[in-house]
Amino acid sequence: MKKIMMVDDEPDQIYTMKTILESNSDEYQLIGVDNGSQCLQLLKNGELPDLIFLDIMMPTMSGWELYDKIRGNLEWKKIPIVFLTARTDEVAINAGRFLGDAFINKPYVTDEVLRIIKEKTAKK
Amino acid sequence: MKIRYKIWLFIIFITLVTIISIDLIADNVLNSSYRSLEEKKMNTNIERFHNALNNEINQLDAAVGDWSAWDDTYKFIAGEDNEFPNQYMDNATMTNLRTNVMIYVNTSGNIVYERGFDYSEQKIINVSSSLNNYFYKDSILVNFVDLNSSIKGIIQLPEGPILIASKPIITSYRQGPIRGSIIWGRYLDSNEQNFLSTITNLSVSINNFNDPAAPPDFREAALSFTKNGGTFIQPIDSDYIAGYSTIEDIFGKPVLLVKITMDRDIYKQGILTIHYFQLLVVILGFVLSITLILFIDKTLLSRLNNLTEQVLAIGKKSDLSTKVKISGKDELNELANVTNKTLQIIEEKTSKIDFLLKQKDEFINQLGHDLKNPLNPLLNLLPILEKNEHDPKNKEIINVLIRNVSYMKNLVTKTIELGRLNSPNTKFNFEDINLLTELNNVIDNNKMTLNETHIEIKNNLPDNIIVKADKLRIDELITNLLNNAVKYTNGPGTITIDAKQDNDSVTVSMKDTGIGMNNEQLSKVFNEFYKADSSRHDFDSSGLGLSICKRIVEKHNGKIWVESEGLGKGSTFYFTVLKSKLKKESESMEYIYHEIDSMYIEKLKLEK
Repeated sequence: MKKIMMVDDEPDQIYTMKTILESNSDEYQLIGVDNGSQCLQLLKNGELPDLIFLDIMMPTMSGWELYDKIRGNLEWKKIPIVFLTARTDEVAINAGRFLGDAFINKPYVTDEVLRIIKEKTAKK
Repeated sequence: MKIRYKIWLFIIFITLVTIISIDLIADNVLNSSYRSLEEKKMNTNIERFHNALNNEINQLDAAVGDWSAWDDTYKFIAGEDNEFPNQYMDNATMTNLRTNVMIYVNTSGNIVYERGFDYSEQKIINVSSSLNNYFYKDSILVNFVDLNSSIKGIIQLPEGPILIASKPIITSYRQGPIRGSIIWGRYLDSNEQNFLSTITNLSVSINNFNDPAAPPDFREAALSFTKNGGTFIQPIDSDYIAGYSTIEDIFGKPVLLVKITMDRDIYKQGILTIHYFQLLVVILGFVLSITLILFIDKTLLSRLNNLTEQVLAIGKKSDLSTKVKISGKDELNELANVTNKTLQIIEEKTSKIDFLLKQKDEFINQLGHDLKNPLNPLLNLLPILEKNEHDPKNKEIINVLIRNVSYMKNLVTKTIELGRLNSPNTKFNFEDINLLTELNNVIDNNKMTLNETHIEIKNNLPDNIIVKADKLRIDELITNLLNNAVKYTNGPGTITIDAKQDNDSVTVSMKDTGIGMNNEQLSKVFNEFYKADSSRHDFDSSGLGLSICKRIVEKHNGKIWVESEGLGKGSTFYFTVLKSKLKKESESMEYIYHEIDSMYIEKLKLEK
């Protein structure tokens, strides 16, 4: 059972991902959090996932900031981070491509998400 | 043509016309007035000559008068004093009186005494026998009725012209009866001519009037006199002028032609004056035109050029805040002021437009985010719902929903993409990419569709084409073109991809075996929201795919076009893209760091 963490301020997005994962496979468990602080809190508590989906545009703490904090921690920096955003501007696209382990644009295709999860978690 | 050259040409033309006109007028007016002055002088000289000649004749006549009214002569002619000739008619007297011929004739016309003497050579000469022809009883030289009458003038003899004076012989008290007449003569020979030349200070030459052997100018003058009379004046050359006049004999018949040659000093002085005047006009004309050109240049053209350069510089730098400056307070200055005001208005408008464009970009980004997020659950949850639904009616409802959501997603993403491509603020991330790798990626991603539709791909691209392009955009371009080809091939077929390279760019072609296009479709296929069949509601097409392709290619400074031989004959899409000049690899990374929200840049760099 692999743990997938998803940080998104919209609960419907988390619900969608959860449903997709449940209906397609039984080897993933989704941990959904709706802000950066909660994510960091969980990580601090030792809840280390196999992969993190990160939204960029979030209130209080942006995806960049959260990314920076996760990658700044020796223990967490090896967790694959996949940016999951509806933004299509250059900054978002390029940063997603070059900083994260992968970049998925919303709306996504279920197969693509499953493929990336499989690929990125297998690396470990 | 530049205004400067036009003005130069105009001024030079006007100056030349003025110079030529003034010079021509001066030449005509002054020349003719100098000519008439010259003729006037010539006429005066001719008159002077005639006066001198007449004076000679009158002197001779006066001398004859002293000797004809004298008792000694009166007696001698009657044969009463035979010593008279020996006493008075000696060489000294004839020299003194400058007389060549002395003839004493009685009333019957018989010569009583005659004597010839050349006073310049001091020797006795024969009296011309041809003179005898003039002495007969009723000759005007012999037959005098009036005691005080006389005959004087010129007679043309075969030896040459001679000045003649004749008077009746009477007593010292001037009493008759007339016993005969005295005729004295002086040859108008070269000596006499020289004498006349000397006293008149004129260059004189005399010729017979009707002399076929005379020089051509004399003959021409004689012809003119026969026709018109008067005097005949003709320039010999630029230094001398000749005036011709007739001399009549005692019978009033023209016998001699006198030619007076005169230095053309008046005329030459006149010509010199004209030339100085013309030179002055030319110099003045040039000084005036150069002054005028310099003046116009300084006050107008240089400043106009300066203004043009300033406006040009503003255009080149696209810096509307720069103001143009020009010295002086005149129309040009006014133009500069108006230009500045206009620039200011344009600057205000431009900044407003820039602001609006930026707002639009932000709005599109926001809209994209806000529209795409809610689509995500719909797109991904509906298929799960459909899979789990077993009631056919519900399944059908869900399928309709899926189809429409998918269409909406297509429309939203493509519209946002096109809007962003149209925006001047959208930046591209150019890097060196291998065209074959990108093409293979796209083909791999679409493998399932291609297999389903039984379309074969013939990829003839060599693997050495490196282009300078935005990787994601090129992927999108190839994907769109491939999807388009697949869609319109509609079943088994072939898509052939080729590339043609030149020095700077590469032309990629994608040929399908699909339904092809007619001319109208060919011309509109890249238009936004164009669909081959607008009446059909096509869930797979937003009508924006090819417009996006066009924008992507244009942003890469390339061209895109399509060719088709007609409906049912397939289509070939072409696009060009610039080849890489092989630059540093780090560029793209640098670019991203600059673009990411600035507060994280330094940190991220350290970590990488």
